[in-house]
Amino acid sequence: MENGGPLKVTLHGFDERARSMLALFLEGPAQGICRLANTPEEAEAAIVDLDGAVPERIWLEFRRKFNGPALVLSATERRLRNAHWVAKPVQLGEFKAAIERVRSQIDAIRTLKRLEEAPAPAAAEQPGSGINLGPLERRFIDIAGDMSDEIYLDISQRERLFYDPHQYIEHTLREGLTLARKDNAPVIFDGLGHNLIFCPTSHRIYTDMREQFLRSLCVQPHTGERIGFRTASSDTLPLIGSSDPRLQRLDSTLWNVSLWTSRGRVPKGTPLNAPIKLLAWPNLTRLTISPHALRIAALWATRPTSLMDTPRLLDVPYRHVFAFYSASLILGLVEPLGGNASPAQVSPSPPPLPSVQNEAQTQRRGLLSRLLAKLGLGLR
Amino acid sequence: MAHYKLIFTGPVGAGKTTAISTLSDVPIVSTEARASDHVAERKPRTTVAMDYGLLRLDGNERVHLYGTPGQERFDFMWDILTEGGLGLILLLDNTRPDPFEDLRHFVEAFRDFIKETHLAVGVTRMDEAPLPGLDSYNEHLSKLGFAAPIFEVDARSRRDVAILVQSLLYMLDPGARG
Repeated sequence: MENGGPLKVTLHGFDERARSMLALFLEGPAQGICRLANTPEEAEAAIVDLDGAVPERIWLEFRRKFNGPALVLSATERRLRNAHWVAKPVQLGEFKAAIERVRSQIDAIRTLKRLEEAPAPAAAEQPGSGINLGPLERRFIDIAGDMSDEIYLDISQRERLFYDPHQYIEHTLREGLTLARKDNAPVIFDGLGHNLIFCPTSHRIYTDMREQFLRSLCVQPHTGERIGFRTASSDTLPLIGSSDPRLQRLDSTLWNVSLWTSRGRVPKGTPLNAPIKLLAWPNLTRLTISPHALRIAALWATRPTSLMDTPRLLDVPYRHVFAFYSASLILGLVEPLGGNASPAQVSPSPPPLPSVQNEAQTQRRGLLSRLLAKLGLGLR
Repeated sequence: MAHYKLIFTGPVGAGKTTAISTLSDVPIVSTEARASDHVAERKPRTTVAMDYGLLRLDGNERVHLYGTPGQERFDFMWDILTEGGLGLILLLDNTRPDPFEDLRHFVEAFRDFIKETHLAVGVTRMDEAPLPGLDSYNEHLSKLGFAAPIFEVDARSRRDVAILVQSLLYMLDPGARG
């Protein structure tokens, strides 16, 4: 799967005939999506046939050998941990969708691994000087995913630029927030294993979840677990002091949820070539600043520009633009204009930024750049 | 040697002096004095003329940071201060009785300067008074015919003030790079 190649899979539970048929399917209609791994060790995911005589035994035996993500093929629905069910007879569309979910899962696991391995953010700032935020920047890059610009420009890989929020906890949280605002009442989430309460009047979230746990929930597509939510009256809630560290900003939490979920992608159906208008600036002094966020925001505020043109105009990686869009979208701060709904085409080169036309403007850009560098913080 | 200016404005006690001192490379020159009118109720010492700070850039370039006088009887200074300025930083105090009236007052006072350059708004003391929220400020600013970056700011935080100033600079030219 590295560099956007086919996902390498191993097979389990198939008899010889079924294995041959699947191999034909992978080499034919499903070509380029995944391929059989040369060795079991090389496999990134597995495809398991669970229509054998004793499916439980097949599954246990499989899990003793392989811990990674799996596609489960069966005639009846199966909800198994770390597995994605595909109904038999296998339809190409459903199979592709399941493979995309597995890809997302693998990307997420890799991202998490890097986040854990990343050194801690740099220490305190020194008055009058910038902060060395190298490690923090690396964290930001991880938050925006690791897809290269080539993937964004490759029409055949266009599906990888999108994610379906309905498959992630992001959607459930948004629905809960909508209910909290509609009823103007706290909303409690169930099924998370931790407390999570939205408090709409104070714009706060109460949770005893550690950030790492919430992040891991965000990056995993749903695999059938039920997470529900309900309104509650304020007097049934735990007594929360205003300085309780479990009380967090609602906007900041939603912003992070979107960054962790999207990882350099945008919600399905987002028009890539429609100019994006910034309706209001995100409160960037209190939110995680994704790389180049200030520049992207300023461009969209002064001159609405599409997702595909923005990276070229600002000379920044596509993943940072996509990440900033998704995070701003969850707070309702951006809007595509004109409804160019076709995500398939890439527009020709965008018109250059309307500056640096004469020596005075060149000098001014130089000054602004030096001043920005002086202000530093590695935020750009 | 090239000289440039950034202007900080806002009502008394909004944090102009503090914000400039968090960015300045030199000790801030402040002409604060004991307030003699109703201002003394909010802030015993206030800026009756102006604050001055300095950012030194490579190549002997300097960016002067000016804070406008906090009292209206010194309004005549504002035109002089803004001449040749790069842009306006407006700091508003969320604990004041009517911060939207403050917003209107300063935007109207600097309307021509903002049109020629750009504006960034920092709302201070939101930890003490979370409401009104930033969305309300955006609405009011929009009614005044402007759109600008509006952030929650702690004027004592260099990071907050730097982000505010950077947003202004990128509004002036998103093509600039730090």
